[in-house]
Amino acid sequence: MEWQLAWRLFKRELAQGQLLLIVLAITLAVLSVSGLARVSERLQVAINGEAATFIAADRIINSPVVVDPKVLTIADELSLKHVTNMQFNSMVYAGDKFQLVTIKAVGEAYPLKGKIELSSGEASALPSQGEAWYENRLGGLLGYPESLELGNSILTLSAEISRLPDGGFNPFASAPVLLMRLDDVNATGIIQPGSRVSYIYQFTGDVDALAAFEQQVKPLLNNSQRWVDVQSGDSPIASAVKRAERFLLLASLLGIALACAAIGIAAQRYCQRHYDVVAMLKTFGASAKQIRLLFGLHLMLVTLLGIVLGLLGGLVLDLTITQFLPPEIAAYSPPYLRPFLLGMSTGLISAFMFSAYPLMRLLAIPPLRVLQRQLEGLQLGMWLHLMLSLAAMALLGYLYSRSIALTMTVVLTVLLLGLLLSILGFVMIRMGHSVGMKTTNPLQLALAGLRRRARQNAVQLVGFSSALVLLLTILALRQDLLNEWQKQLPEDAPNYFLVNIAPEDTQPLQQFLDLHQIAATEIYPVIRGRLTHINGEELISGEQQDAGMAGRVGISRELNLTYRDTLPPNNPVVEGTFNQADDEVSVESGVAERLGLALNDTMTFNIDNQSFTVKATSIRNVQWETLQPNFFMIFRPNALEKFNYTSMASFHLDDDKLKAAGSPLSANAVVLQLIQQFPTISVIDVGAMVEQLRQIIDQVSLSLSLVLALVLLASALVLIAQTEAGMATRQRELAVLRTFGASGWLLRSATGLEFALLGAIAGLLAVIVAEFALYMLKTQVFELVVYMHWPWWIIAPLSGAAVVSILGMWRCRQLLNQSCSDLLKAG
Amino acid sequence: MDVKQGDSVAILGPSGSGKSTLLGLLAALDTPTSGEILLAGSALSGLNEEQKAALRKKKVSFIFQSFMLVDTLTALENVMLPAELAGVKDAKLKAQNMLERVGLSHRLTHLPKQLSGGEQQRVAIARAFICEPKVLFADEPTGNLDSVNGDKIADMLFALNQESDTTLILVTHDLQLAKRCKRQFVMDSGQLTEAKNSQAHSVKQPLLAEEMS
Repeated sequence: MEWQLAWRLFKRELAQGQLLLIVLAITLAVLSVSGLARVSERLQVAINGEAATFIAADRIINSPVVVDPKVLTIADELSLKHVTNMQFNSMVYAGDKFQLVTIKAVGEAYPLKGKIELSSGEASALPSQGEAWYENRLGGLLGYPESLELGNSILTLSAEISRLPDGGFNPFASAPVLLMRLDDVNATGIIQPGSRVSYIYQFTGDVDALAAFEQQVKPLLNNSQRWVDVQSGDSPIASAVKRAERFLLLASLLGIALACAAIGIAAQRYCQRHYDVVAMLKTFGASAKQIRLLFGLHLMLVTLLGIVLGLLGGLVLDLTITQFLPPEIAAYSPPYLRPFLLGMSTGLISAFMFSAYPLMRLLAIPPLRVLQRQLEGLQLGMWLHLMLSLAAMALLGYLYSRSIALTMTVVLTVLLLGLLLSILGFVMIRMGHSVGMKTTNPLQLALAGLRRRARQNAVQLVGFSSALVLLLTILALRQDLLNEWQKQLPEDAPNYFLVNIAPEDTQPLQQFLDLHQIAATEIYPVIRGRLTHINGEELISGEQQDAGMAGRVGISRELNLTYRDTLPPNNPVVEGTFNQADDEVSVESGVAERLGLALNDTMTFNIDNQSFTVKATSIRNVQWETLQPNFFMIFRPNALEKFNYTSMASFHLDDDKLKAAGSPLSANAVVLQLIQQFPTISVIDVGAMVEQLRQIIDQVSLSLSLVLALVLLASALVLIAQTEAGMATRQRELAVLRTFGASGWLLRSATGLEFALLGAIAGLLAVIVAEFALYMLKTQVFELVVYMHWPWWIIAPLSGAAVVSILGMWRCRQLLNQSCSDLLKAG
Repeated sequence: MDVKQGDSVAILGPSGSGKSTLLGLLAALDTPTSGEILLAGSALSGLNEEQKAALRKKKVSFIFQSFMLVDTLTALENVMLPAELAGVKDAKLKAQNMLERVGLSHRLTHLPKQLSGGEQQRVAIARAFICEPKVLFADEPTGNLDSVNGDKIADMLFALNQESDTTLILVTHDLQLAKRCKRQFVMDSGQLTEAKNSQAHSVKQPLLAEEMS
């Protein structure tokens, strides 16, 4: 019987639009969670997949010796694909010419990710036995021979490489690459015990298997073996990916929090609307059990509908996004189960926990309310509601993010925000206390209205402002992140690097660049040197430490050092002051951390067999993704000028730019001229890589816009829910004012103004809190530059006023147009 | 105050005199701080909320000044409600019959907001009688209606009351309506006195005076 009644009530209320708000709120929460979970999973795969082509794999182990065979066994057990490669430097000979090259000897499965690009197109296989492929520069250096000698072998040069998927980004890799088969290496006889070789093990597989692999294998690695993934190290995209991931998670959590708030408000309204029904049912003898069952079932139906719609919406969202993704990423379909379960539990948890308190109040409505309408029964206190709501939010946040820290941050922020806004809102509204109530002036009537409803308005302010704060925060972060990336990767990001510039070429090179109107970065001198001591203590290598030697581990290779008078752009000093004296050096923060270096520690370098000691007096952050020449160590000119050096520079060049400058030549022609004119300078084309970076950023932007749209929707819903909640009292007041002869114009203007004032206050509060939140987020989470958003201080109150008054007036339009008697009857 | 089965009783009195409080107590909606009420043989002071609800379900029904219809349910569904709560099997058929009796068989699927005030109160009357209550409490049943509609409703109420031998306890300002009851009580500042017909007339003046203020 209760079931029938619940179903009938549900059907009728749904048809009459009474359940729209609560169903929408639940739908949105479920949609956000299920849709975003899948979309972000897909995007994460997309971002990481794109990024992984930079290392031609998902994970890499880089080792100076052959790794423990157990590692590969584990990889096999986890069904990871893997390939073993070797990399070493060697001389090659072609006729009377010889050249130092980097040999990349690769296994059959190489590359696991990405493609080898040859000048004739994408390679479909590896070089055949006895053949090798050469990087384009090598051809020029050796005069395009048909074959070359490597140790005991003669290798036929069968193709020219334009780009390797793990070509990486190291402008100092001055030796050109020669790609050959791993099984051809033995025959060359080059690798002897003690030869300096890197074994590069590349792995790919699904996310869970990779995580399990990392967990099992990392402990087996020693200090000289490096674990590499897309996000580790100084990869130019690592920080972009990390920030994007954090942002996605944060924004989704905030979106969920907002949707939950909308559910909370809608649930309260839902229950208030049923007070009379419950009183009437009790009067007619309904037992407590009957009423519990009736409304439990009713709410269950509402929740189920919300969940079903939300899951469908999530699916549509996912399908829509897929349309915009490149086909290879769209083809990856993460399992539906997790988003589905997440969505379901979100709907159930949020609907029941957020409506628990309003429902309890509803069930406690005394039957006597049928005679005394003001009775509302049980007042359990807001704290219970607050606790339940926060618990629900925390539970959902954790389910979604699986990070206690992030969840607690969001919950605490929401709590603080709510408290702060309630207090501020209440105080601001009470400040208008002295204004009297005159029914002739709409402004005074509006102020009086605000003051009369101070408590209720304070609650509404929390809703309005929270929505605005979250919106502003997400908006600003999104913009800042995009700007940051755009700044680092502008249209004219360098796409060519020039290295090995001899001192005598510096001047003519500058002239060449000027002639073609190419704006290059400064030309940086590069001196190669080794760090031997820190604070007088001799440094040892990772291998030595593994062999049981005690001591501080240094950097086992030569470093590229540079000197200059001033701090280069994009190199903010985070500690200390940039070089003041000749014995001072500025150190990059990452390497300082790796070496355990503190400010004022001394370092001894060895260059051309000369040792000298300097003091670290500043630590710099280097943005590796800028594609500018970047250095670990920057000295004063006097310290390094006496050593031999070569130079490097980078510049941007494309056909359009040349055309605009009036040059008849194409970019390729100019570069060719440059190579011919300066045969010893190595020109590195990073254009393809820059393009790839840009693609990643585009995809991340798409996901950011999507999350923004969802947060926007959630905010609008909160606003509507809030206005809805205040409707009943407003109706009564309008009836009274109408009865006392207030004109339609006066009531409309007063109501409009009241909403506008409320919106403006909410906007102002939102800016204050958002600036604070942004300060915290930027400094603590995103490492972005903090600045004030002055235009907001005007725009937010104005748009708050506009949005709230439009929404409010829209909701009240019927009330305002009703006749006095209708209002009184309805009231 | 002692009311017999089948009696019709009017409680008159100015606003704030305690009429509705008395109604709430008599109908087992509220609990008295002292004294005893026996409703259909049950002492209310010995009952908890659930027992009182069960008693109301079986023996009591209501008509309100503001109709108290569920505005999302149709006329028919509103009438069915108490019967369904009481577990009556053919609730729908009974509700149809009741609506026919109050002349609304053509309005079964209308929502309250699609009905006039008089029609809404007729739906409420049909709802009140569907479970054949022993006692019917009516709180200003014509208070929200104009005189023509008010008279019609009153006619209907008394006719049904007589047909079903229900005890009627009616709270009203309306002297004409009160006079149609067999007995009249006057409530004044919490004091209840039974009025002879002549006494009932005497309260007319203050009542009118109050209505005009």
